[in-house]
Amino acid sequence: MVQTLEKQKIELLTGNESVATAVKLARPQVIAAYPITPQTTIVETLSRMVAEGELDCDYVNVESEHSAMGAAIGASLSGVRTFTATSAHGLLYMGELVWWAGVTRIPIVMPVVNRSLNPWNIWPDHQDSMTFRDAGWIQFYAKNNQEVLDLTLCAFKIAEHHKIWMPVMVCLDGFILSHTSAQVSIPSQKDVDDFLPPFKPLAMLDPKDPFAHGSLTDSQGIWEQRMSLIDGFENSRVIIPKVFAEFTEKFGRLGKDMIEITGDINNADVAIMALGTLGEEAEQALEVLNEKGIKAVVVRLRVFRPFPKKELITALKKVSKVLVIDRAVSFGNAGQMAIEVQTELYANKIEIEFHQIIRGLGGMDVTYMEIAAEVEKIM
Amino acid sequence: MTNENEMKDPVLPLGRPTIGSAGNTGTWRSIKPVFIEEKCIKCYECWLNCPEGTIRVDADEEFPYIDYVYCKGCGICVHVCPKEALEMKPE
Repeated sequence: MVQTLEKQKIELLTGNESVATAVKLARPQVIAAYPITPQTTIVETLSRMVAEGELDCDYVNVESEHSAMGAAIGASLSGVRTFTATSAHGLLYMGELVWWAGVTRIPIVMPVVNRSLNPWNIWPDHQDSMTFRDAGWIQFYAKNNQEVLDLTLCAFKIAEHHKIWMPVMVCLDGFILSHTSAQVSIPSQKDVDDFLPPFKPLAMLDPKDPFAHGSLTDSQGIWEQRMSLIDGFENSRVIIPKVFAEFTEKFGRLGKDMIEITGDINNADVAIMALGTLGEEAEQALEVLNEKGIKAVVVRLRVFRPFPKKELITALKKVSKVLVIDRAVSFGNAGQMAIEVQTELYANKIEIEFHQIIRGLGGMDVTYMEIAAEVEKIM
Repeated sequence: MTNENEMKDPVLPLGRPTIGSAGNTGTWRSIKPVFIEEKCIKCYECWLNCPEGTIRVDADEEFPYIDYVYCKGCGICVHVCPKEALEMKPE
């Protein structure tokens, strides 16, 4: 049941403004970021909010993404809520410290505004964030600007949960979301404060109780930390849906599941799988397919790390075919999502017809008509 | 496991500073600094410059002394002493 709420404002926001709005409501104490297209308007908006006194926060101007993550790690360890954001080459340049934050458990929230990698191209695909899917970060993929705002707010609560305590990457497709305006419902500060309590550090740098963080560690120590990270992800499988459920109960939207299913899964022949805005585009294909007598559903992973195995298998058991559309490639093998879905199908002895395609690289447009045509080919 | 209280806590990579966490480094030494109290003017340059913190001063106006369990015998103290109150001698 939806609780009584202060009236939510509805505004026309771009995806990047949705991020900035959510971050402002989350009351971070330190933001360290370096601008890069298409993430730029996130940090422009936040730095303006700080400069104009709308947001009480230290904004650290840094000379690179590597420094941005370095500053964010230091700030987080000093015991405060910390935020940064990047895209594409910025994420790669930050790479060493992205791993530091992941495997040494720094609860930073960072949107990655998805953008293609080399050669120069500013348009969206998932190659940048997929490159870091193994780095010990929780990863969300948003389908629209509302989900960007909602997932960003949830990201803080999830990252800072004491049984998780790890960074969260909120991925949103460059330009398709980042620079496109849509109606977004904005919760009041009071309701967000109720949902998201102040940052409570698990370990905090303190001159009176000194410790070194991530210093030279022997094999046994590394083993213990890696096993703990695996446990942390297992914990997150339980806690993420709980936080989503709490958000849903409080704000009346989002839904508790790590997977969003659109269409009637109990009466479907084929499932279409895609991340982010491709998933929403696929929803539009359902009607076209229905007119042709093809019963399809969209199974969209909102959470890619942890990989929602149980939910995925529960869904895919009910269909006879699956089409996985990847917007990134693990070169030398296949699309990352395709690889992981195949693994789960085999591990769970689910014998359904498996199909995979790669689409939308470098911002190539993928229309619902094209998706419908691809589904028709496999029927 | 669905009960949050039963979930494992994160293992964080925290190192607490302790004396001798790198082992008994005094065994690395082939020559050692020796302190000559009569020449010392208590300027504490040796204490300030020792890279391993193995020269100790227990209270103001006291003579410094060397912790040979961890002194690696680098000789920096001998080099910085303005009064030649320290000299290197073979083990």
